[in-house]
Amino acid sequence: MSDITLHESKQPALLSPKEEAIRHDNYKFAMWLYLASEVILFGILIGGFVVWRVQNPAMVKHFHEASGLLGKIVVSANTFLLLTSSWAMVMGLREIQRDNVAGLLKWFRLTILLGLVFMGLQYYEYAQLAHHGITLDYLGSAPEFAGLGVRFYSATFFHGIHVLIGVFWCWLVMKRAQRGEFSSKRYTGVEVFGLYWHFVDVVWILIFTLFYLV
Amino acid sequence: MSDHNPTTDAVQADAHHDSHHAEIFAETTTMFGRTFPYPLYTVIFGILGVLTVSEILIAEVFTSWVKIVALLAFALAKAILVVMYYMHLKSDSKIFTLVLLLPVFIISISLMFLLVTPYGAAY
Repeated sequence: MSDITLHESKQPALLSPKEEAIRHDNYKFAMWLYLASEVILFGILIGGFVVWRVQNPAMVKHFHEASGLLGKIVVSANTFLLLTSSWAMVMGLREIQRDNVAGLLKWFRLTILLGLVFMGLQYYEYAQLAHHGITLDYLGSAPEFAGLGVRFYSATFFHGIHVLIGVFWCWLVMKRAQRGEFSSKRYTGVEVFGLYWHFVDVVWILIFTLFYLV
Repeated sequence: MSDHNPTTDAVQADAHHDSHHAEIFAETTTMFGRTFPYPLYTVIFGILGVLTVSEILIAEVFTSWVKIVALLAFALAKAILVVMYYMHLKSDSKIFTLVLLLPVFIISISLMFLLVTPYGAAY
């Protein structure tokens, strides 16, 4: 064995099953630490809205009336889209754990499609709300909705950006899968992306209830 | 036999891998005393869907504090299902759970303080 081989850092493909398991858990731990920071960020945005709405119940009632039946249908549809995308994502993970790359790609295509439709519907919802005067105050919000826009849009738009990043990340994972980088023994990249995508889903579950239903 | 026999390590890692994923790979799921002809992830998806429809109906039917309590309970149940089953905290290291719960605890305490602060109180 040459000196070069002895000093070279181990490539993932050369790791033993035990080393691969440790590497897998380390990546997941790093992702959980990142998600912990996201909990604080979303906690501030969602918590800010909740505190404000408790103190302004009449305005929130007007907001729900302004969004109307169509708005409720759009937001409910978006909730089902994200729930379904989470299911598609985890089914893709299940496929790669069975060495089925084609299955992973099939489910991840669905995940991307659902994420894009979610963003399209969110854009439609924003357009409808702006039509009713619910916008950022400096853009000319209706007086009865003063202060609502910044609290509503900051949380939902920040979430929407996360969906956009998730869609792009999903596409990157698919590219890696097509290059044969994942298998039943090596799927860390898929599972770490999954943690992110499900977290985005959990955030929407809370936004859906606290912003639109309560 | 050496404690660090690579073959033994590989066998142990494979055994852990197999037991960890046996539940996930099964084509049927036993839950609530019933066996469903679907994989675990699909059953969880079904439960999430039923809970979401229930939330929408509750929001339309009830108007009192019952509505708020029920909706918060349903949202919490959905979030826990996703975290436990889709994010695998049910079977993963408890350190991951701790990493998630610590910021949730901090945010919850902060929110409670903010909610009991009178509106417009002097700072």
